[in-house]
Amino acid sequence: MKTLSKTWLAAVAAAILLSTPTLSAEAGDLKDASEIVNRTNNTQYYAANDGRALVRMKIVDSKGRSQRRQFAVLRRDLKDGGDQNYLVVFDQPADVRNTAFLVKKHTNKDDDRWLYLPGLDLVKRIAASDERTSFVGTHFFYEDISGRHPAEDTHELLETTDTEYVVKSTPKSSKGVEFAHYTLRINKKTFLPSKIEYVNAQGKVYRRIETVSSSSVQGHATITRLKVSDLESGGYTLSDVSNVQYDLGIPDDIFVEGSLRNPPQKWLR
Amino acid sequence: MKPTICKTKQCRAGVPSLRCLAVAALTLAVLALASGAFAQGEQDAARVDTEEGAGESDAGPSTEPGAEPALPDDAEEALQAEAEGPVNAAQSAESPEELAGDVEPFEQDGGDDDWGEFDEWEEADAGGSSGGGAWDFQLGGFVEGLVAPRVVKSAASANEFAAAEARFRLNLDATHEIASARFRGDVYADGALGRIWFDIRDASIFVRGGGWFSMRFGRQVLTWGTGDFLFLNDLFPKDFNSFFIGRADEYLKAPSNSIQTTFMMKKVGLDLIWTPIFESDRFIDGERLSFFNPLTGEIQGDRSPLSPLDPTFPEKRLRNGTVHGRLYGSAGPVELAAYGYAGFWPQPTALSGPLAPPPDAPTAAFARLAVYGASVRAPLGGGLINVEGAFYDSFDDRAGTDPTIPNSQFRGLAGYERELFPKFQMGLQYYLEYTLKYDELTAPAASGEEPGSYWPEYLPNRFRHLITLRLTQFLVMDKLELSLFTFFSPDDLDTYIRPRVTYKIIDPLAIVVGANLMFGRDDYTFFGQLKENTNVYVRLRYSF
Repeated sequence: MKTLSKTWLAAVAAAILLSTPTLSAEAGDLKDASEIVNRTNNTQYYAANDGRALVRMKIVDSKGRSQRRQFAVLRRDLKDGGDQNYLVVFDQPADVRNTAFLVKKHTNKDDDRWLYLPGLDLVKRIAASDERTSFVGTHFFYEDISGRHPAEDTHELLETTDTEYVVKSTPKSSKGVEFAHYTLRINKKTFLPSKIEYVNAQGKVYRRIETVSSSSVQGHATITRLKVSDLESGGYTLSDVSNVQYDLGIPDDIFVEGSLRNPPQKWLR
Repeated sequence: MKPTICKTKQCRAGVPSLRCLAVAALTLAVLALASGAFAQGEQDAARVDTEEGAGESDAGPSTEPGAEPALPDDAEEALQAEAEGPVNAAQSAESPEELAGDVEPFEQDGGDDDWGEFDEWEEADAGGSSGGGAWDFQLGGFVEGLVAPRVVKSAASANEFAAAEARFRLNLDATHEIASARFRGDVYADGALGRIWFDIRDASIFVRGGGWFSMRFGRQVLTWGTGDFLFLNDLFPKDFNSFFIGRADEYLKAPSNSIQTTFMMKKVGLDLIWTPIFESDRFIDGERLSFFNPLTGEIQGDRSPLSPLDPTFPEKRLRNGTVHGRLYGSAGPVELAAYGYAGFWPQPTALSGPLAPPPDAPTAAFARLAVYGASVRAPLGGGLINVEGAFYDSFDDRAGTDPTIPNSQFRGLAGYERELFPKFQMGLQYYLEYTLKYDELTAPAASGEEPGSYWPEYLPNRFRHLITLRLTQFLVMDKLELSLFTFFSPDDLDTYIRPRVTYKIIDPLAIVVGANLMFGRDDYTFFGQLKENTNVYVRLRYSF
């Protein structure tokens, strides 16, 4: 089928990434940790100007019980590294089918978010919430999905291997974060993270996000499978991204209330 | 016409046998849920088995039982190459190996066979419909049991159950790029009233005409406005029976047969909805839930010969249809809307004629009503603030002197909600109802003339205030939800408390335990009149 390979997009949204020329960084190793992290952020969350993906997640708890989530995502960037619009339409589980999220992501203030509850035909605006809490019951956090702004942390380049940059990121403010710092292993060619490990105040790694597979879609390095593990409970969530397509020309005027009630099929399929 | 759940078809049968049927259906539902849950568990287990088997055959010699089922690198690469091949060939100049080779083969800590499930989905999708011009079909629904016994003594109602029902819901969707069709239908065995109900909640067609026009035609549920369980400018039919007996929140809204048209002009939207035949609320009529009848001065339940309340509905004429309008847009993060309505009061708060002895005694009736209002919603201090106002123009009695018609009112609402702690939300609302021409209502009647109201002693105050508080906490990876919603009126001195615990046992199966607690100093206030209906409930739902 027209499934174009798979991306990641952790969950909702973030899927489709930026227009960084993927394999052009050969010239020499970068030395500036902030630049590396900014490029990673752009690659992971801002590919092309817009995009679409189908995301499936499998949540496995510590007892091995699993649940599924499945949703389609449309994304449009207003500015690379800046504001974005997302429309997310759920298909699974059955009890939330046709539930939809509209997110206007802002980098300088709280995001604007709306939730559509189909049973009530209710478009509910949602108040800003803690970014580091479970995204729709998965082990992903909202922030993993929509991206943590690079300016919220100070970045330090620990090591440059043959294939990877290793960056330690420490939050400028400990307010609202549960980690003391985290370590990013970033692929030198693709600028996709291959592994992120979160370290608590005791110096222990308690949470890990791994890129299981990635591919190039229309020239954009794209994560297609991602795993997040809660190392304390033993639970984890797998995320699989498929049907990725970039630069569809999605217009800005579909990111409106009416699209929650009646999703724009033209762009979703 | 049956006023409760009025527009549904019903088959009457022997009441005792039906109650048995309801109980049997409930038992069946529980069994079905249990077996479904069990089957799901087995299925998962079976899937893991087969995947492991497949992995082994790929890898050659089988791994030892209990060993970590790490996928060999070559198998993983093969998998990736397969997935990426066609795309990269078609869309990218880079060779698949180049990127795939960049991926670190990190250590596997179990659960990697889980990915097989996604590949299975992929195949399932490929078999289904997809792509540009085709129709997509979807089928879903749920089976649900609900039991809600009354927990206070009721002199008015003999029935000890506010609800005892087993419900089957069918959802059908057919979606096309420019059009879609939707069906939502319920059938439920209602042990409390001894009936089987068929209730179509949605049977509608949606058509899109370019980016600027769309239309939904047919039976549908409609909602707008900014209040949380308080509706000022939303005059679409509500089902207050469902609200007070533990049914899911969605049943607070009742469907209507309507035509909805939406026009989008840049950042401004206009919704116009026409309901050709007036659809009232599914109001409380004494049969299932008791209420205060000001004519008799008593709480009226199923023991009363007057139940169910049987009002006179407007004639089914073109001029008796209702029209709803909304103009909305936003300025930055601030959402603004203006609303209008022309139709009838949604509840039978009027009388069909002046008070008179039996042959000419009036019935309850629906007075004409127009509503104009506006709302604002915006982020503030990490939360959301909303303000909404509505003027209820009871235009057949603007003078306020006709006792058979309710007076005009101004209704206002201000609300604020925010997350106090991670996964803990709070919402506060203040609501005000101001009755115009109040002095005319309460003035004693001049000799030989009708008074402003037949029951001034039961009227709410000129200003009726209401405060609501919502607290919601999500726990256990959002599987457990604790929720409390409270209405309190400081001048009516009545309250309605809705505690609720929802637990998603496994994906398709959820249990809800809650209560509807109504208290009031007086029998005639908004919530006080419902106090004999106080109930607790358990609801079990299996979605598919």
